[in-house]
Amino acid sequence: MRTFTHTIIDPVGIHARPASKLVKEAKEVDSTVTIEVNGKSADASKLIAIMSLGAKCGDEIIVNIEGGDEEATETKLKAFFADF
Amino acid sequence: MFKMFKKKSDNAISLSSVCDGEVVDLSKVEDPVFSERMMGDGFAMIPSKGEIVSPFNGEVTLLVDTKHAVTLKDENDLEVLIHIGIDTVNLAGKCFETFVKTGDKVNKGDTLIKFDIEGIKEAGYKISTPVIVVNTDDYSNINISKDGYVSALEDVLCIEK
Repeated sequence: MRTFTHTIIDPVGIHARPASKLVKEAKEVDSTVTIEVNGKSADASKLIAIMSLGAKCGDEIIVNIEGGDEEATETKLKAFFADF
Repeated sequence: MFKMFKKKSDNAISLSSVCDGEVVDLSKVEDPVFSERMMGDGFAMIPSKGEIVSPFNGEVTLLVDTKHAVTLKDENDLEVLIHIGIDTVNLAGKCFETFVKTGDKVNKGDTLIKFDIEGIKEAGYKISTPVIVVNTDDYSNINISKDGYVSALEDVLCIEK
């Protein structure tokens, strides 16, 4: 398993648009990706679960990557979160 | 209730409109997240009345803090996102009033959110309201069955297993 943290920079947090983009990324990789924030955890391929996390600007999220090509997934997701 | 879809398979279910207004194809929505169906298939409404009602009996799975979007799940696990306006997350709740909260059970026709159409427009946002089947992957075919002007709770989307 690989894990990295990221602090949300999008002023309105992980709302519908970034959440749907994250879901798209998560569905494209063969690893299982979970996102943790404020003690809650969600499968990154489930839109409503991700939106339900309510991650706000300034929140630190933990990205867990398990199985498949973890290294490639980590690189891809780090690039993704750079915008959010 | 499925008579109007008799040509379709027996597994077809219908999803109703969520407000009075015009039903349009998602491709007409001014945001690629919706128009390119990144979130899933569905339809969009241009509301003529600022009141969103539940299209079925089910549960509110999420009402966002900013009050402009709600997700619902029916008893057959159909998951729907109703997103009022485009980029209206930036209004931070202004122009919206909610009548339910996350976890509430709702009946078809219950008021979920009321909103100020003119206020949203004056703030510079489009009022296009996508209604998205979030778990589109669970279905084989999703088609608009009625477009143009409708009242709330008219069957407008045909969803086949």
